[in-house]
Amino acid sequence: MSGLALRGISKAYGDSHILRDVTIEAEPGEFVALVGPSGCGKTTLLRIAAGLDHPDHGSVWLGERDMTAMPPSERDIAMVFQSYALYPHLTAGQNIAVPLAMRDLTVWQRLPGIGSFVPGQRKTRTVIQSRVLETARSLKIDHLLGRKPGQMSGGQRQRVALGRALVRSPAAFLMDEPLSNLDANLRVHTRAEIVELHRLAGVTTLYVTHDQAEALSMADRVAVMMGGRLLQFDTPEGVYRNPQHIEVARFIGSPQINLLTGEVDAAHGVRIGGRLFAEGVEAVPGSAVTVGIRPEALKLGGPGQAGLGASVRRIEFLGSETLVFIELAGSGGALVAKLAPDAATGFGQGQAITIAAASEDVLVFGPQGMRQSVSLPMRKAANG
Amino acid sequence: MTTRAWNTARALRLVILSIGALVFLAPYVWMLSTATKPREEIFSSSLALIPHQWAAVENFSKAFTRVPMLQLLMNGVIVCTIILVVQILVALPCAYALAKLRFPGARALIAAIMLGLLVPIHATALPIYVALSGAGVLNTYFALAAPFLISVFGVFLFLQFFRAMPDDLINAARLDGMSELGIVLRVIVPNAWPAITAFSIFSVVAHWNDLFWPQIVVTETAMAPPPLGLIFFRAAEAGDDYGALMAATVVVTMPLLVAFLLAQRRFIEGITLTGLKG
Repeated sequence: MSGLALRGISKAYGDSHILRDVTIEAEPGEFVALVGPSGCGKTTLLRIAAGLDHPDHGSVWLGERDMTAMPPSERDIAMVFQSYALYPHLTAGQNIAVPLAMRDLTVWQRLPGIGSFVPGQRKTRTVIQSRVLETARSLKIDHLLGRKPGQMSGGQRQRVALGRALVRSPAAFLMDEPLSNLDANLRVHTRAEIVELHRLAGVTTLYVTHDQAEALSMADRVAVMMGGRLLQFDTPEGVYRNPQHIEVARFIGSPQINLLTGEVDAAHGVRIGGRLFAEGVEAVPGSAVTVGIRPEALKLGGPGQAGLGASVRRIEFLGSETLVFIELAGSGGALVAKLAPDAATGFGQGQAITIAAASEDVLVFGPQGMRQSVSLPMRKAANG
Repeated sequence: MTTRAWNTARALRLVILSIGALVFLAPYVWMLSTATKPREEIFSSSLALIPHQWAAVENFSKAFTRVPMLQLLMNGVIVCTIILVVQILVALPCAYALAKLRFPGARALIAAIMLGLLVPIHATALPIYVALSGAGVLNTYFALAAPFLISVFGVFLFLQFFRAMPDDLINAARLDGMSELGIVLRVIVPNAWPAITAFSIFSVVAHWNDLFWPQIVVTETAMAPPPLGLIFFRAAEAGDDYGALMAATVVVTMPLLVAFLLAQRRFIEGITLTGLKG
């Protein structure tokens, strides 16, 4: 098993820079998700890893092999395309067999008709057939092997595409939004299956998606990209709880993180509109910062309690949770809080409330969007 | 059919289409009719489709005995096959490269192809004739096929067709380990049959019926394709024997007619695919 490393990748088409000095190193067997809004360069990065595009600067490594100048066919990498890209004229079984036939049969053995007279051809074909069947069984598509792509549903085609990638046990897997053409139910189901397949095969995987929930739920580590830059490369928990950039905080999490303008005073208290919101926050004192609080970290209280004055604008009941939309008194800033349904029963539309947050849940971003963070030994001691 | 379906608009449409069909069919029907008439009836002042006296056997036997008809048909088949095979062998990889590969000069080449579409054979006929004559290859199959071996129309048709093929399909093939030639043979060709069929139809129809070029480079009946053979027949043997001439014409048009009836659906597909008229 080998890791996949993209080092210092830059790519520009004319004046538009698609990628700027991106470095992502996936450990052997790791599942890495590349996530970002459309146009952030994640698909270009994947195509560079596959060899379908060439970087202006930087290098691509598979383990100890420098693959930067290697054509795609020699890289031993399999890719699942968003459109599945199955060969329309071949059956599912023939589609899955193609990578094996290309690798294990000689040019003469592959010739139609004549090929069957070349020594060894029959034996290799049998091996390929059994391998195709084995792969199809693991994907539960062995009953579809005789069908052509045009006769299959989107979900079935997607499985055949996975099968074609899995069948030759490649050194690395690349997946370009493989779930985006499936309906919502099937997507959640297939998501779990891909994670399971990855766990069984243990092959290093780069997975491109624009869906942050998909990235968080599937990946060992998540690379958040924006405007051709890698903003953060961390575990799902890391990018969610500890975003290093305001754009990461904004992109990851649903509903979106609440962002308010405020300041950090000399005593590490976060003030919003001049009023104290949270104390003992691990942030550098300064003015004009942006304060981020996840919806589930907001604490709502009755009027008169500590915190900022606000009022309830609207309540959305979603079954397992309830969203409370809040308007800040004075500034009119809008926030959203996520509560357990039981905790939300006390609130009604138009009600005056106060909002507060625990100091460790408050994220402070500087004017350039970078996270402002310092360790406060005092609080560590108090907590310890 | 319900009465609603047989309203006046529908009837009118049918009448107009029928008249159109008659106009286009008339010469062919007249040819068939003439081929079955004896000489006196052809030149008689009365117009009749059905002859009073049948002379079909006589006319057709003249057509087969006085003209080396099988030789003419064979020439047609050989020339059309050479042209079609080479055209496809050249046009497929060429169109693939232009449609799916990025290389310097690709745009200029496509522009050149568009220009090539605008130049008719009549403009280049003389220089090509001089060259073939200089090379001493007049009156050969090669001379008949040479100007048509590379078809810019073929490249253009395939280019348009390949552009519509998804890039990911080709990328997937590259990752599966195929060479560029392998991609053309294993992915492009099996999926390009509609375009290849359409092009084959155009090519064969055009070159089977071509008279202009054979008339320039062929002077011997042994090398003549069918239409030129008919001209020779009229000039040398038939004189005013139109019955025999028409019988020979029926024989010459028969292969295409049979091919059309067998592959009617493909013909229509081909014409709608290219959006061009043949």
